[in-house]
Amino acid sequence: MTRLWDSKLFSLAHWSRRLRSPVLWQGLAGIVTFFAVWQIARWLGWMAIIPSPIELAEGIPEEIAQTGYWQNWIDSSRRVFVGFGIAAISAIVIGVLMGMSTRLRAAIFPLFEVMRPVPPLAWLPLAILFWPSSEMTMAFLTFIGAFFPILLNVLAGIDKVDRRYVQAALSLGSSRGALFRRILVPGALPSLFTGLAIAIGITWEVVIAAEMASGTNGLGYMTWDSYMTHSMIGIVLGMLSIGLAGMACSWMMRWVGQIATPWQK
Amino acid sequence: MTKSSATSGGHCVVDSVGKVYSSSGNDLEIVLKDCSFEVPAGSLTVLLGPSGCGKSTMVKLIAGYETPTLGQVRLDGVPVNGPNADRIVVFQETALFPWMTLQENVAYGPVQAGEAKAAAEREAGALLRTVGLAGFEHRYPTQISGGMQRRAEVARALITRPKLMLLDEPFRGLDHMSRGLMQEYYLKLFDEHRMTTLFVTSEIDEAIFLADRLVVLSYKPTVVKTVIDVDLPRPRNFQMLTSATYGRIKEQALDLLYNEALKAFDQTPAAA
Amino acid sequence: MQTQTVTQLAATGASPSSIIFSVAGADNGNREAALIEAFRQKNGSSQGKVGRLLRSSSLRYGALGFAVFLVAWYLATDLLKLPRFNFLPSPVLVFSEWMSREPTHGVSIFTPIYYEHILVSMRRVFLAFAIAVLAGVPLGILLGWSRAFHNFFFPIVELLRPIPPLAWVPFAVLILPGVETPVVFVTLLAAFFATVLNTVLGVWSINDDYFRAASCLGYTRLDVLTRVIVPGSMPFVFTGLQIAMGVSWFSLVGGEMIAGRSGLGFLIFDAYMQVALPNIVIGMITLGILGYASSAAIRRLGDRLMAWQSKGRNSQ
Repeated sequence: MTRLWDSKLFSLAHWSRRLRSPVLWQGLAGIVTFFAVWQIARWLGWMAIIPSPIELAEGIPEEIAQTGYWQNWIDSSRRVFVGFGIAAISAIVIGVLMGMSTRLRAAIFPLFEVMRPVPPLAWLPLAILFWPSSEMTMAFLTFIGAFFPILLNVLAGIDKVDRRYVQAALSLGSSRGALFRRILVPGALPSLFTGLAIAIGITWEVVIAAEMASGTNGLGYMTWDSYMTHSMIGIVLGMLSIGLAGMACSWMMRWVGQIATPWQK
Repeated sequence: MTKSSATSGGHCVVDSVGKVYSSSGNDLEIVLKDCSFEVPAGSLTVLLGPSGCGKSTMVKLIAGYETPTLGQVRLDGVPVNGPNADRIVVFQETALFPWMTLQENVAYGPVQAGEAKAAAEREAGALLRTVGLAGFEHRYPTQISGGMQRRAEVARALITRPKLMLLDEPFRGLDHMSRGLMQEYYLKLFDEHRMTTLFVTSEIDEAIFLADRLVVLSYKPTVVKTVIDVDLPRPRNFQMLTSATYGRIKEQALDLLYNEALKAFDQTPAAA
Repeated sequence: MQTQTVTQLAATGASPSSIIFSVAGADNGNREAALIEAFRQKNGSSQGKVGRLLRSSSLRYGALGFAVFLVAWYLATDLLKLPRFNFLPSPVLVFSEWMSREPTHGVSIFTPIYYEHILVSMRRVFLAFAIAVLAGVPLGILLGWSRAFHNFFFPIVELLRPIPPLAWVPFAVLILPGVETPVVFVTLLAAFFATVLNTVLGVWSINDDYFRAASCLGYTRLDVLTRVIVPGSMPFVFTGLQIAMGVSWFSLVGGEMIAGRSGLGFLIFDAYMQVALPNIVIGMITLGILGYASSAAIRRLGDRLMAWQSKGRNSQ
């Protein structure tokens, strides 16, 4: 964990530099203006359906304190991680096989190219019909959403490995196995992590929609339920929670990616 | 790395090699038309030609990454058939594996040849110290300068004791000063190990300073214009660059090269 | 000339196969013809693109892949009726329904309602896409060009961007009037952010020397905009547009399923409610085709507009 301690996060000098930078203050000014305009508009009586920032600031803590809020986080996260995990493993395995064998690639790739543009949510009815539980349905949808971006990035990563590295490795007497483990895998790693970071963002989006359409719990359902009960504060809280969750996951992916590829700046 | 490599052969024959590529659409381009020359064992032969004349193609053919359309390359009498550890290429831009530290990079060849990892890394560390990279063993290639990358890559090639070293404009992109230092450095290594070397360049001074023999190429479609023996004594130093022999050889090569360079200049598309 | 001759080379032990071609010094035409002939023999005679493609193994393998998929689908759903798979429509049912003049469930290539759904969805996507681009590109250029503007406004963009478009659905339905506006709004959100972000990156990707050159040439700010920034950021902008098109279809389906009264997303969900199973798959396939075609159209447009870029690459 020395890495974490060495990182900017814990560097006093870094933070004091950030605090003195005009960029930070300009950005804060922008956000403050955004909320101020919103609040003034409400005082003037515009956009009467939307709660004002002050109402939100009062209402959101109450909503969070209600029983079940944190359970929604757990429910949605579980679905995301199950679908994402299965997608990641299968996409990596299939991607690597396709990267190694041009025949397999020629056989599967056109099929995937045709299936890929079908939006993940369009799979929802079939998934409901096929899978015995709604939990499996949602995991399947997240799988579909995450699978293609990861697969494409694995393939792109393998293709992008500079031919000179392969040539140099062959000249140095690499076996087929070594060429794979020591050249192609590390060469494709940065691209894989890009794919994982994109995919986990999509996964959250799919879970939210699936929960809205067919769920009985989770952050998406919470937002939908607030809509049904006309609780604007609940809706906004749902949106913020979902945004936060997706952001945290992408950030986490990138962090893992940086640790896994220490040679990148 | 005290053993001499010269004893292990490395006599390379390029025999009437021609190479055709299909460029965009159905157009065929004859890059190498008819090239024959030899790299005698234990010599430092320089392949000199205007930029874009197919020197890198020649390196790929000798290395075995590609096969000639016509003709053949032989190493110690055996036809070249695919890449192999007896020929190592040092590339134009660095081809050090970015995901390995310098030590892991240099140890890669011996490990692939079956040497134990610990022993290979010890040997790699020692070799890195002799090329002036002590203390950088555990850095990644992106964390060091261009000149250091070149030295590490030469070390990665040297450690496997190849029969033939192929250097494809290895010092291109370095500033003038580091380039001169790298040339002296390579000559020092060559005097020590006498590893058979084919050094590719488009710089005439670099070529003469390094070479036992110069193989001068024409512009595309490429043929061997001439082979010049450079009878400057070894070890070489920069004072020789002002000697009469040097002047004579340079004049001879320049005459040939200038016309070819002109041709290359006229045929290069404006967009490049 | 000190060029090596054949005899010298033969003395070094050239193998017989190579001597056949060792006609160094023969006249130029012969050697070039021999090279081209040898190339043709090695690579198969070239009779144009189509001929090569038909004979290429990749096409055959691709067809094999499709065949295996369709047969597996058919076996699982129709012939073997595997558990759970028997809930899904078989490919035979789907395609006969799709091509039927009198479809059982009312949707096929001969029914006007099919094209109405397609048109409604396409209108929404292109409207949303157009708004996203017309608003997103200028905003992206401003954000990329002016430091102060960027510092002030970008954090707001970053604040709103992580919220997935579909999380906006309830909000949009409540505050926006009508049925159409919420769906279009949801569809344009993700496309808008993708366009803004990539345009900013595009402006940042322009080499500073171009700006210096422009100021040396006495360009006005308008000249800099039209001659440096717009063409310079184009590659990134088009990457953004491609992403934007993809996410538009993605969000559209969600929006139509949850809040729509028409369109392909609605068709799919309605088919599920009415147990008109073939229509689900017909809707999915149609969405796939439309999504693919619109992305391909943007890619083609981008390639055409940025011919200068690929030319530069070829000459290398």
